[in-house]
Amino acid sequence: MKIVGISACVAGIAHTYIAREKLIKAAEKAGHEIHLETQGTIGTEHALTENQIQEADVVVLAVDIKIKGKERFTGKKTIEIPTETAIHSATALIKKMEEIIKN
Amino acid sequence: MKSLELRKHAMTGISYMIPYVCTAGMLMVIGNIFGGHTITNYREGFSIADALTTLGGDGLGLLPVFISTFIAYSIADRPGIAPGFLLGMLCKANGFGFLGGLLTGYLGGWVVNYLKKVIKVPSFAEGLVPQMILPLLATILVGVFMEYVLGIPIIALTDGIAALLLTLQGGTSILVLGVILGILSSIDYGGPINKVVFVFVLSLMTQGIGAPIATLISASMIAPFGLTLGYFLSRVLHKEIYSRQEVDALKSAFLMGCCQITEGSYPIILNDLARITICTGAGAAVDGALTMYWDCASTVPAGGFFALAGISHPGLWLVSLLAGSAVFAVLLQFLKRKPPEESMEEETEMDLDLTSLKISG
Repeated sequence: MKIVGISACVAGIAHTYIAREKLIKAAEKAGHEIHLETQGTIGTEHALTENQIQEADVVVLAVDIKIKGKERFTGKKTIEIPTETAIHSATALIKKMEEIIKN
Repeated sequence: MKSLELRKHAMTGISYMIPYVCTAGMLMVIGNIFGGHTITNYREGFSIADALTTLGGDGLGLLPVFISTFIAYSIADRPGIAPGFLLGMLCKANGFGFLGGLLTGYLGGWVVNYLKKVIKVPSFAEGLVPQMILPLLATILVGVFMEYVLGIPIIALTDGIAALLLTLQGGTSILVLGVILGILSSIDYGGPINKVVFVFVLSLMTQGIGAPIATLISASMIAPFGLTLGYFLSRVLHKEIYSRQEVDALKSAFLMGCCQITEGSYPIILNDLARITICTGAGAAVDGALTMYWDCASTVPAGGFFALAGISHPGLWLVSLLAGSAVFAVLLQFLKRKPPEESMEEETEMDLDLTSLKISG
């Protein structure tokens, strides 16, 4: 499964990046390819390429705030959760995504 | 009907506001340290310190405008900015304060979104809709509503809360309030609960009631300081309750804690969330009660130790922080266990909270 997504939290300095790390770790452990963009207070980092988005099977948005560029994912299966959920239960979240893709 | 996403829009506004508050607050602190005074007449000449103090103070005074603008932007995108800004100025002028700014942000944004749907014009006039019609109509509609309807209870409410806090001052019930404020400010380590409290105490600060925000600043520092104090206490008692990674993490946790950034403590807190949070709650309760009781009031909304220059009774404020951290540290000796080294690999996860899951597409 190929995953792309965005993480963004309120303060934009910690949760954003912890959520990214946890999701990447969990996804790679389960053997998936994942690319995550961060929209912290510093600005957008690890920006997604058009290619990555096009190839993705599912989009995960771990966001607590309004994000930029959501329209890039129009028509894709999208899962939105608060950053906290991604941090506390990344593996379970990836599993849930697998289920969603299968159906 | 689509959910209103009240929280998300407020959080978006706050995420834009945090750097603004920090900058304006620090300008004022630095100005105050060097003896700056608020400038009343720019033609008479002034020092750099005066300029810093004044700019910082003016900046904080514009908080209703700032929050209103960015909540409206979050809801309605670009057409939301103009009404959000203007309605925020209306709040500032009328003394509706931060609370008013929050409301005009929501109302302005929603009205713009509603108008986007209902306004139909001939194609040659379409360009005018986002340029003028949407922001102008939204500003007039919400402005009139604020001025003559919503403004009345807002003024009553803010005056009421201010009066209530003043009567509580010096009594024992202020202790209870301090306990509640301390706990709510601290137990989710800068998360959503903390941000809600922040909005509340910030609006009090803009009305000149500075003790609650001083309590929040202090309570936010309890976790990193308690963890640090707890580490030294554990060494004195020859108890090994910290892993090597945790000791490493503690250094940056402490430094970030000095600036009131709790996030540095996460690596340690997340190893044992429930038990450490009990310590945090207890420590912050003691700390909150003391800061409120001693009426340590702040004119600066954030910054940790840097805020000290803006806090009245800085000595007592430090004592409160120390007392709270000590309670944390002592409790920690009983509650915390040493995590296995390299515990990062196989952490236990919480169950997936499906209520927060939104699937689309």
